Amino acid sequence: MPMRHLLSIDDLDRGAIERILARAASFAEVSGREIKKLPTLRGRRVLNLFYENSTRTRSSFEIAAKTLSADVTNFSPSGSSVAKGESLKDTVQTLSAYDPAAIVVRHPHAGAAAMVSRWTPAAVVNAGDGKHEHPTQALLDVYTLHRRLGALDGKRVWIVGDIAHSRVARSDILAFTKMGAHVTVCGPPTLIPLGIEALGATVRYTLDDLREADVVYALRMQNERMTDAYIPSLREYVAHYQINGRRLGPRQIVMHPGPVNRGVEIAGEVVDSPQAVITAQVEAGVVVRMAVLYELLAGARSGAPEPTAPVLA
Amino acid sequence: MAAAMLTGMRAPGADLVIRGAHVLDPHTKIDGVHDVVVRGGEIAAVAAPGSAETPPGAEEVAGEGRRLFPGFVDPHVHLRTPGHEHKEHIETGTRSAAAGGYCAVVAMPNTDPVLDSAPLLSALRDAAERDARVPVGFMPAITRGLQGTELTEMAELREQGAVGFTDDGKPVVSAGMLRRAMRYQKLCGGVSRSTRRTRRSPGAASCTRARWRRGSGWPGSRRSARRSWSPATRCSPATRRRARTSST
Repeated sequence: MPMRHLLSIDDLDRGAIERILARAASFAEVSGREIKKLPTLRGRRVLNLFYENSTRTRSSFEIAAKTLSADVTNFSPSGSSVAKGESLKDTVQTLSAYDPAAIVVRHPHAGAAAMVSRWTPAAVVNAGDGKHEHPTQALLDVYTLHRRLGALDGKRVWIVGDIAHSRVARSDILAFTKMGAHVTVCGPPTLIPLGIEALGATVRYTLDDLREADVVYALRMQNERMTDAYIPSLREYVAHYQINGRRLGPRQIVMHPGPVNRGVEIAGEVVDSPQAVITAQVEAGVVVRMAVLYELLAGARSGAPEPTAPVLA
Repeated sequence: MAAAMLTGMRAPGADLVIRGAHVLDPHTKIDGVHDVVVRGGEIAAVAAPGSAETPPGAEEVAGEGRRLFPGFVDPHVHLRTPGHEHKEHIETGTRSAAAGGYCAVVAMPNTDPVLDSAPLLSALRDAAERDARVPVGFMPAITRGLQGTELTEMAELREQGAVGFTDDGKPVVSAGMLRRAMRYQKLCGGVSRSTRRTRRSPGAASCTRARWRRGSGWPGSRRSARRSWSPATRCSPATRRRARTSST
């Protein structure tokens, strides 16, 4: 059965993830060509609906859709009727009248993408909803690791930093464990949500055992989502949790979803070292998002409203 | 409390035999006349009266007709250094502690400036090393300036020898802040002490279903927070009124 929406990694099983990765790998070949264009989605409309700032996600979705020959429209709340008070529902219904094949949504509130999927006949891709999930980021992370390490079964991934405010962490924990890896989350106790173990991760509060990790995934301190002082100071955070040359072993792979705060969660020399695959992650963003759009749109009937269809068929 | 965190123990431990005193120690349930042998400052033996031998070089103390207690520890004293030395300072405070039978004290952070940073703690420990008459432990603030809004650098303070953390007579303003402080201390193995109840309700909660809360990152309502905010616990009429209006 084809997927209708991509709202959460929870909705995918290992087979579906592997199918998307394989598709992404085949698209990687296209990215290497001089003329980077496939006719797959010619004549289909893709709407980028971003209620939050973004560099990587938005541009890579745009490039992915254009590479597949879709027509892309970018929508942002500033300079639109949202500034006049239009609700998310009305905005989505208005934009749906243009008959887009897919809507890519980023929104500051958890569950926004799932709600949008109920208001539109288009396929909905969650490009980040609050602190909830960022599934395409997790897929491109799995893709990047696959390229470096092969199968993830039995590999140890440490996700370090502000877990509490990170949708990337939540999606990554789900995706990495589905692919057979052991995930450990590590950070100041105030930035690790109680009960995160339920998602399948082990919790540590110090980096003492960081050397056991095959992969170290550093997260940014998400100041924009912090409503209160969760840590005493960035200085003390750096002293205990910064990923730097002193703490890393030579074989460990370092990942970061960007944007990087050099010298805070990760030392500049690590960002620039060959251990870091941060640029490879950005590259993977395009092909993985192409694969997601392909999964959702290629073969699916265009624009037929299915109000009674389940969120994920 | 680990002895390593206390400062001001310059005198070598004494060798003593205290004979025939009425020993009282509720903790070990001793209540009777005994001889007590002290070696190197530590209790080496509690023996029947008249039976303890005097080690060579040890001082004998006649305890007949007197009471003998374990050394007292006062975990809440104000040595007023820095900032209020006209009221008290490390030497006077610890002298009076010694005179009253206290063998260790823990100083509160409501000084001026507030004891909330590692450099100040380090300076105070140096001063105690020099001036204190009994071992002193320092308990820095949980929040900067005792203001209840930002956590102190507890991991670093702990490395500098903080015995625990407290906002002293001030309540930590919100239950959420207190909970965060206690969670943060997993990093440094410290203990916090709040001598007053929190002043504000636990804060907004938008969902109570644990699985959804963890997955979505939405703030949840925790049972512990609700319990700590039971109006039945001791609080002023004003906070009780607030509790009634803010309970959901």
